[in-house]
Amino acid sequence: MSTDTTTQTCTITVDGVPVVVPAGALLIEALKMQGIDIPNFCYYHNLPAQASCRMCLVRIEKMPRLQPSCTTVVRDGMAVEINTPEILDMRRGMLEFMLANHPLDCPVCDRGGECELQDNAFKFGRVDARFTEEKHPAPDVDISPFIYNDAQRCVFCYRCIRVCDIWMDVGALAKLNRGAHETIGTFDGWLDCEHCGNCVDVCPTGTLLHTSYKFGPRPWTLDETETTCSYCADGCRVRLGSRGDTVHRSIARDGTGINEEFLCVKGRYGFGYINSGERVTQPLVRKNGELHPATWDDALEHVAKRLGEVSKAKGADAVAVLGSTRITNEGNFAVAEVAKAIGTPNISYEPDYDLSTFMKSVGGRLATKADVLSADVIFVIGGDPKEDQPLTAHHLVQPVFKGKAALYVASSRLVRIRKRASKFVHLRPGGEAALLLGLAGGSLEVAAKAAGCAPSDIESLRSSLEGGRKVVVMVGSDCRGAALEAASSLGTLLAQGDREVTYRPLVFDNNSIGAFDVLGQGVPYASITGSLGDSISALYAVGADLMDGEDAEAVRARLGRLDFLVVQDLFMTDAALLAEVVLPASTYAEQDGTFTNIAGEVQRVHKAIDPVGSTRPDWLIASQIARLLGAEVKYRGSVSAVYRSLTESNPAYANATYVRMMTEGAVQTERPSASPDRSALVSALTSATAATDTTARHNEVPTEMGERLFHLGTIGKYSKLLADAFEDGKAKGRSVEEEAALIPLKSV
Amino acid sequence: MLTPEREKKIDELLTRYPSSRSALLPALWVAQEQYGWISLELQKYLAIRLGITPEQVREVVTFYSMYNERPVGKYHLQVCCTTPCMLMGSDDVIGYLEKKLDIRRGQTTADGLFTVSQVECLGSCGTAPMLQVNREKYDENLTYEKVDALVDRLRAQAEGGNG
Repeated sequence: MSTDTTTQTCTITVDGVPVVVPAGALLIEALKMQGIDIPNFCYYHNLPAQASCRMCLVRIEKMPRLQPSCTTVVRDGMAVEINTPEILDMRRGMLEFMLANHPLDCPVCDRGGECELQDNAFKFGRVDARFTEEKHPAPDVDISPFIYNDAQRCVFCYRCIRVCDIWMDVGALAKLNRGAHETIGTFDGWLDCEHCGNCVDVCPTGTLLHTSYKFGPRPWTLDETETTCSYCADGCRVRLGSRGDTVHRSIARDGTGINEEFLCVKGRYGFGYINSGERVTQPLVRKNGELHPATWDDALEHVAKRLGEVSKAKGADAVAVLGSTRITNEGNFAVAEVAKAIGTPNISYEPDYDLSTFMKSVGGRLATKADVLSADVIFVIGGDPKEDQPLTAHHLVQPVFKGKAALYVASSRLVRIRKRASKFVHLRPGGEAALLLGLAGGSLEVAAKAAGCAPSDIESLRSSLEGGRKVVVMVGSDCRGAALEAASSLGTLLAQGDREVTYRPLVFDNNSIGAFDVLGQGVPYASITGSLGDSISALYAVGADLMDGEDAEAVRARLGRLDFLVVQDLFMTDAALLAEVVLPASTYAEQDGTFTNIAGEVQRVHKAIDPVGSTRPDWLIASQIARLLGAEVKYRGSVSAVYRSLTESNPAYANATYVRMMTEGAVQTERPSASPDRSALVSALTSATAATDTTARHNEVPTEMGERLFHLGTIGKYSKLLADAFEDGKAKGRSVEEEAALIPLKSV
Repeated sequence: MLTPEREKKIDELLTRYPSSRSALLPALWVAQEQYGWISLELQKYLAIRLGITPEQVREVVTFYSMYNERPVGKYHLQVCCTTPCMLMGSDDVIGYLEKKLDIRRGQTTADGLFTVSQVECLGSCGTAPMLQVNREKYDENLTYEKVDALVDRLRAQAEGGNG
């Protein structure tokens, strides 16, 4: 919106009625603020103006012709007519042209019922058609495993093309041919892109559509539930469309969340695991060596009895409890209650990022969307949001595209985000600490030698960063130890100046920060997994990928030595196959709760469908076990009461209430920023720099589109559409050669 | 994919414009000169050469009727079908050609001699209807007889081996 900086207003008259609107606003947006919708197709609020559909034309006094309201800026005293016979006639005429080649197939079109062309034709169009020319029929064709293209329905608004160019920075869609034969298409008929599907959701007609929703239920028959995505830490708001017990689609078309309409391939097409036939749908208890279905009562009592036995026989310390970066805050909180009820200190989760180090030294607030969009300098070190945090990448390129912010990237990998960087510093593996030492004012020669770049690179990067007034530092997981500590308090290392620095840890999992907040990292995960079968004899593992690493076989052996293993998960994981009891958990779509995203913002998870089979939400299962173990559990049956207990025990969450989330969407947790000791940071960096292997060669292999974005975790693997598309290579990203050619590398 | 001279020509074109994208139209001419048409492979090659997306190249190639996305015959008969020519009977001309050569517009005869295409305005409205053979001079004020004579002449030329 072009009015974000001004509070000045001006007065215009609309059909003779004076209204006060923000000065400098586009007419179409100013009218929208007044509750007046001007019909349009090509206008889109966060895309550059196109003014090609001519649907939003209005009469402006003293202007010779009708003017497009999507490119006209309001002026004081402007007199606008929007509802005169002339305008209505124009709209009828425009629609008549647009429908000249449009097929009359609304009854079989998947967009029917939520189609802007249909709505506008209904409101403003003619009842009959006067064109007698033949239409150019064209069959619909799949252009990727996710998207199909019904070219004849297109009205050439180019929203899809602009979205692919500007939101996604990919440019995989093309306008082919000319005039009446023009179509939206791809280079060779098949899309090689990030497969986000955003082009489909912005389409005002039924031209681009989801294959996963082809001939699906009519949109008005779906129950739509706004919730928070379960894939990455960005925490996009998604709308799950469900009918009965089945989720049919995941979209953000009327997006009101932090992501607006943006979703990535996983968020949009990775919902299949919810209704996967491979879900564990009932509790299983091992009898005579085999897992047999059991009732919840029997299973839970068995778990409580066995945990109690081990605790009594070998001490509470012999029991370990694992939560997860995947489940809700409420789930983790209840899991922690189980550990408390047993009295064991051994509670942990598998971290995807060293948040304890980050949070210990973070020198400012966590950067929110608003911080990123209003930044003038963005520095990404040791991570690639393009592959791991798609919404972060989308947000950070927007101010860069507009020339409002400069992006600086330092990485030991040829990360994809470097494409839009004003400067990319290619470090040697492990060179992050040395670079940060140079930025902190250490000897440039020493730093550059260890970092594997030129002294001038560090010098110019430092002056660029110090020149910023609103700086966002994004700290990737390549930064470890001293480098992570230093990067998360970069503001204290730079020369003093009048600048606000905010930080974003580039964590991966959807509730990574929430798990850290709720479970802490008191006992490191590795020390728990390393003691399984030795000092730890019983394990309650919730949503834990115990055997996902290279040491799977060693873990399997250790799990085999346990007296008691209970696994609570969505699927029969390798660990579940070894368990004495398997407790079937519900997915995020079947429960209420909260996730905490990459910016430390808490967002609601809303139940879209009833739990599949006899599954139960993690928080309910865990709190039932805690109660059976004798704990006083106050929140019987109510997730909001679990959350209230959480907010009472964790001051960072005190203000993030369900009520605030209902009105504000994402509510940032309030955490004290650390005040790191500059000289200690510098000396840690100095020793880390001295320890850098200066013979390590630069990694010259460019990151390929989709290298991690298309990487499927457990839930992705069980989402058939994603698995089919990516595991046999039907869906690919743009090739490295093509991407590399496009990269304007200013300096390496 | 291109001869060294043509590569050199493209290098020279790239110095001519502030943005490499601007060199696309002449670069496509250079490429088409060598092959007679521009394959998808060649389009991708040029995209990487110019630092733009393959989609941007294909948009341009499919927009202009002067670039061929398929091989064309020895004689490319490009019949103007824009308004003045259409009013003066270009539909009849192109229909006659299609019937005479037994192909549809956009197709090439089995002997590889002729391709018939429908193109946009060639700027000779005063002499409509008209067509252009390859990049040579126009054949204007067309009648069925003139079309017959033209096709005969081109056939004779091809047989004579001096086409």
